[in-house]
Parts: sequence; structure tokens; C-alpha cells
Amino acid sequence: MGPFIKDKNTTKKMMNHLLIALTPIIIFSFIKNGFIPYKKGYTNIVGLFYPLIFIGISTLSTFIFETIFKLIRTKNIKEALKNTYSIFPGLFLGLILPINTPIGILILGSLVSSIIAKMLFGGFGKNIFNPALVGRLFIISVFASTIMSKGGYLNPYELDAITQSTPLTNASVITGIGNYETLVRPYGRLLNIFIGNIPGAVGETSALLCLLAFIYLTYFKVIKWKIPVTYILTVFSITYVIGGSNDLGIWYPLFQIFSGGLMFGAVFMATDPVTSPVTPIGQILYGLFLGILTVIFRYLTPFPEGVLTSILTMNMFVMILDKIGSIGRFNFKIALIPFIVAWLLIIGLSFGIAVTLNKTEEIDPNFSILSKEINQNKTTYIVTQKGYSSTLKGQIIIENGNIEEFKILDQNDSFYSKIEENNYIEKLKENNEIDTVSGATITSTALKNMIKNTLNDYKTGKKENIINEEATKEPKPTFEIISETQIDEATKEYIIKNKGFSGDIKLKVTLTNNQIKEISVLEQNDSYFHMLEENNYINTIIENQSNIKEIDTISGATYSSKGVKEGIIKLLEQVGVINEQI
Amino acid sequence: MKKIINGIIYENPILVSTLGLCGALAVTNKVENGIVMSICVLIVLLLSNTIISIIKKLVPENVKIPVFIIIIATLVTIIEILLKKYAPSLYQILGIYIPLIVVNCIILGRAISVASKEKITTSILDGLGVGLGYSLALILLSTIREVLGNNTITLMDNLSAITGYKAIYKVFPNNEIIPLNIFNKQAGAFLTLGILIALAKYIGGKHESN
Repeated sequence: MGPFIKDKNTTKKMMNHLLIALTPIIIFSFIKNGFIPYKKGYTNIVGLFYPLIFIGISTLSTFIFETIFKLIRTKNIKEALKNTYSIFPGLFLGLILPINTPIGILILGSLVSSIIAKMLFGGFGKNIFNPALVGRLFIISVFASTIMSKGGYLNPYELDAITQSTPLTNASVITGIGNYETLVRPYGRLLNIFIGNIPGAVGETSALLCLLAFIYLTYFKVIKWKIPVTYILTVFSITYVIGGSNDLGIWYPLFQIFSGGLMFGAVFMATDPVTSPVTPIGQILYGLFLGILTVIFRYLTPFPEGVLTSILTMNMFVMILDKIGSIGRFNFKIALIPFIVAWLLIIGLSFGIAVTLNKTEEIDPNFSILSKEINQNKTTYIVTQKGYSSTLKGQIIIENGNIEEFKILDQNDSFYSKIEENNYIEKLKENNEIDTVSGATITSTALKNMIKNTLNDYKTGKKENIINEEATKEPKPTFEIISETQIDEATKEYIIKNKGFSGDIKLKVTLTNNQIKEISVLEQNDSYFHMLEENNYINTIIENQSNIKEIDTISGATYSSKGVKEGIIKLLEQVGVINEQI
Repeated sequence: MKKIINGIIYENPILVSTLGLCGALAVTNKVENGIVMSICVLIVLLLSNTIISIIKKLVPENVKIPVFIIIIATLVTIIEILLKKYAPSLYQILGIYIPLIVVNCIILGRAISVASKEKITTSILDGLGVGLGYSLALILLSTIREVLGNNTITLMDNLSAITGYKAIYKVFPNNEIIPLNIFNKQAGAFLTLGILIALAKYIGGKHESN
């Protein structure tokens, strides 16, 4: 597992080269997170050196913890201070954490990294998991909310001036695959992301410096170069296919490999001498599967960054990969199997994800938006959808992504009464996936499509108002006295008809001595007419008939109550009880 | 008396013998749930030990285990029905972990190793000891999990149907770090349990070397 064949001298040389390669990265992190905010006045002298203090504390902590542990074990100070490169987990941990991690939590993470992930497994050369990554996983899982509430990955300058999240978090909130405008433009040009002048962990952001470090370390034969090369090539190819089939240029796969700390993870974390494979075939397979896992985690899971979990997962398989590698040197056929699996996965992922992201919803030809009014979080739609024997016109109000109101303004479908009997409109408002109403299936499907198409436009349509006079015109009430019957000397019975909301309202009004004695509803076709009964509207009219024009309409059944009230007013006007326009 | 201490400390079912962890990890998100669960297990353990110890001479060797399981299952069903009637909300929360007491290794293990071999009084005391050990471990686990994960200690919330009063205490008034959400989930349960078992081994080891 560990670096078996190398002797103490070369291990020491390796670690020195590693430190030299990390120096530009540390300096860059100091400039980006300390110097620039200080220069722009967002922080004080302490903030200037804070990145260096941060990295220094984590490095020192792992050293101290490991020394104490060895002291307790061996009770020998000399033995305890022997160099086992205990500073490296701490150094890497400091570089991959968010800058706003509280110091106490940082020290706790160093404890986990050095003791739990390294010493308890047996010390240098015997750990299975990359210690810095275990520490980071622990901190992020347990304390994520605390860190995010203090600002997360953003240093003081970015918090105030830019207020962007990291590029991958930004990419995960965009619907669909995004494009250059939405993915890259918020951070400047692709070059910015390459240099690393973007929000991210303390030292992870600069792809350029990681590339330079890679070249340096490969030249001095310090790291296993096959791993980062295969890793990055795999991610590049898969994202190239994904981007290409969505008409995105070559900047897309480059964006994917430059962001998310992928370069840093590939060059420094995946090539950790203790936790990565030794055999060449094992290394190539390691890189391949790391790329596959990273793409899976980035595209198919809700978490935006996949490098950490991919490396930790593949750490578990290193022994198997080495076994395959050592067998494969002599019997290549056996080693072919995992390669075939990897290739199948790569091809499957590339085209699978490309197709899923590419699916564009076809606009339903039976659907049209009459008017759309956006008012901060609330959008009011008036839409039409072809129903069974007529066009359904509906009003849908969507607030914060949820349907707040849904009502049908106009329809003339046969068997619409079944929809009303089942209270289908209310049920659809809660859940659009319920079954259709039997006996009115086509109307039900049309209603469901109406909601679905409206939601679709809410999510992906242009955010501008559509105004259409036709949509909001009030239906004009049309009044007619159908019949007049004289019951006795002073009493007359009228049957009148007035336009309600979706249809006509037929009322039987009994007048005695020109006073309304009784009103009964013979026929109506309005969905919300029951609100008149619930609010005792008819009795209200009878009781307040002397100033009937002042009676309010029922909110939620405006047109229905208006139809009733104005029908009666028109009747009273026509028979002479009211003889002037008030 | 020694038997009881034995059950609590040296053969603590969760911290030393690490039996019956599944129920322990799942229900300990609040102190009250832990207490109720441990009371259920205690009652079942006591009664099953007693009954099995009484009938131990009547049971043939080859049907021992099915017979014990039937007895334990009967007791657990009685407890389940009582819980369902008098504290339905608690029954919902504990959910499937009450029927799982039947296959809890603690009870069956104690039945086979102690109750079917020893006198009645010994069995009762042993059951009491192990049950108290289980309760202690569960209370410890749930206190830590709830304080760190929810910043409260709930002593009587869902049981208020029976007892009539609520007791939920907030621990740290204004704290930025606590509550840590991970302790409400299973990951936190495993973390806490692991640390407790390590502590128990450490204290036990020190005691032995003394």
C-alpha cells in the first residue's frame, strides 16, 4: 500500500519537491484571500495574513497531534519527533477548506485527519483513506451550516463585492445545462477561472498553478503522473460529449475541469503516495474510475462538487486495482475486463447525460397564454387550453413556484359538471398528477395539461409580461325577463335570466307590493356559485333590497354574485320599483 | 447485587457486548424516546427471564429457541398494544423498532445463556441488571445526540397523553455551532456510539489492569 520500494532518502526528496510545488499555490491563496481584500479595504492587518495563519494552524495542529499520539504510544520524545511527514495532512486540509471555517473546527478537523484517518490505521504508509479528505469530509458533514452561515467559501472581498457562489454551485442552480453567459460570464472569462480568481476553497482554485505544479512534479518523477492525466482526460471527454450535443463549445469541458478543485484534487490528492495504486495498470484504472465517479456525482446527484467523494470512494478499491494491475502485467486478458466496464460506463454516461439534458419540451399546440403578469414573486397567467368541445380558459396564479390559485374563467365542455362534482380543480391545484375524472377524461387531461404548460412557462419562459385585452375583459351581463305571472292581487312572480360567470343564472323572484318576498335560484352554471349560498347572499339581498346597489359582491364569486344582484336590480328597474339610474 | 452491577458495567449489552444496536441507534434522537424504549426492553427482559426461568425444566432441548421466541413475542405484542392504546404518537415515532425487540439479541441471548440455566431469583436479577445497563447506555446516547443535535432535552413530550405535562428543556441559549444537524441522523448516532464504546473499553481496560 505505502511507498514500499522507495527508501527514506527518496521519500524525503519527494516531500521536499511537494513543498516546493505547493509554495506558489500558498502564495496565490495569500494574495487572493488576504492581500486583495486588505488592499480594497475589506479587512484589517489580521485579515491580510489570515490565509497564512489558517494554513499554518492546520499544519501545526496535525504535527502536534501526531507527536502527542506517538508520545503516548512510545513514551519516547525522540521517537515521537521523528519525521513522518505529519505536516502534510494538515497542509492539504488547510488548502481545501472554506476560508470561513472557524479555527476551533479547523483544529478538530486536523485531529480527525491526523489521528483517526492516519494514526489509528497504523501511521504513515498504512492508512487507506486520504487523511486530508477525511478531515474535510468530517468538517463539511458536521459543521456545514455553521460555516455557510459565516460566509462559506467567500472571503471578505467576495462577500461584499461579488456575492457569487462557487462556479459549480452556480451551475447547479441553473435549469438545464446553462451556457457561456450563465456559467462563465458571472466570473469574467474562462481565463479567470483558469487562473483561479474565483470563489472557492482556500487554495484549490488556481488551475494554472496546479498545472505548473504537475509539470514540475512529473519532471522530477515525484508523483504518479498517469493518475491525474487519465482522471482529467476522462472528465474532459465525457463533458465534451455532453457539451457538444447541447451545442456548447470547447469552453464547456474546459470549464468543468478548471472548476470544483478538480485540478488540485487530481494533482495532489489523488496522487497521494500511500493511498493510490502502485502498478501502472492500476493507476490508469484508478484515473478512469475517478473521472467516471466525478461526472456521476456532479451531474446525477444534488451535491455540486464531486472530487472529494470520488477520491475517497476509489481509495477503498486501491488494493483490488493493484491486484488487477499485478496480474495484468502477465495476463492482460483478465485486466481487460475492468477497462471494458470503464469504457462502457464512460460512453453510457456521456450520451445518457447529454440526452437527458437535451430534451426540450415541445410547446403544446393546444395551449396558449393570453396574458401574463409578473409581480415580484407572483405571476398571474390567463391561459387557454383546448378542451373536449370548447376551449377552456383558466386563470393560474403561481407564487414562488407553487400554484396559489387556479380557476376556470370560461368553458363550455359537455360533462364539465363531473369536474365540478369531483372538486377536481381544487385537487389539481394540490397535485397535478392525480387521475382523470371518469366520464370527463378529455376535459380532465386538458386541465392537467393547462397546469403543466403554465408551470413549464413559469420555469423556462421569458420573464416579461404579456398583456392582452381580450383576456381580462369582463363578461357583459345580459339580462332578460323570461316570464311574468300574476299570483294574486299584490303578488307577481318573475322568472329572469342574467349572465353569470360561465353561463346564465335563472332566478324566480316573487314581488309582493313591489317588495321582494322570495328569490329562488332555478338554474346556474357557475363553478363558485355555492359561495353565494354559504354567504347567505340571497337573504342579504332580500333584507337590504332598499339599497340593493350598495350590497357588496362575494369575493371569489364576483361575477356570479354580480350576475344575481344586477339581474335583480335590472328587474326592479324594469318593473318600476327603481325609477332612476343611481 | 453483584449480578446487577455485572449487567450494568461489565456486560453492558450496548457498550461492551454491542448487542441490539439497531434499535438503540434508531430511536435515540430524543431523550424521551430513549427512555421509553429502554423501559419497554427492561419490562420484556424481566418478564421473559422470569417466565423462562420458571418453565425451563419443561422445555425439551431441541425446541428451546422457538419456545423462547414465542414467549418474547407475546410479551412484546402486549407492550405494543398497550403503547398503541395509551400513547399513539409515541407508537408512531418508535414505529417498527418495537416489534424488533422480539429479535433483539439481548433478550434472546440472556434467555438462552442465563434464564434457562439458573435459578429464578438469579435470572430476575440478571434481567434487571442488563436492562438497567441498556437503559443507562440508551439515556447517555440519546442525551448526547439530542443536546448536540437539537439543543434541547426532551423528558416528557409525547407521553403527555398519559402523564399530562410536558418537559422540554433548552440547553444552550444562544449558540452558533450547536445544533449540529448530523446528530439527528444516523451518521451522528454511529459517531457517538463509537466514541462511547471506545470510552467504555478504555475505562474497562484501566479497571482490569488495576
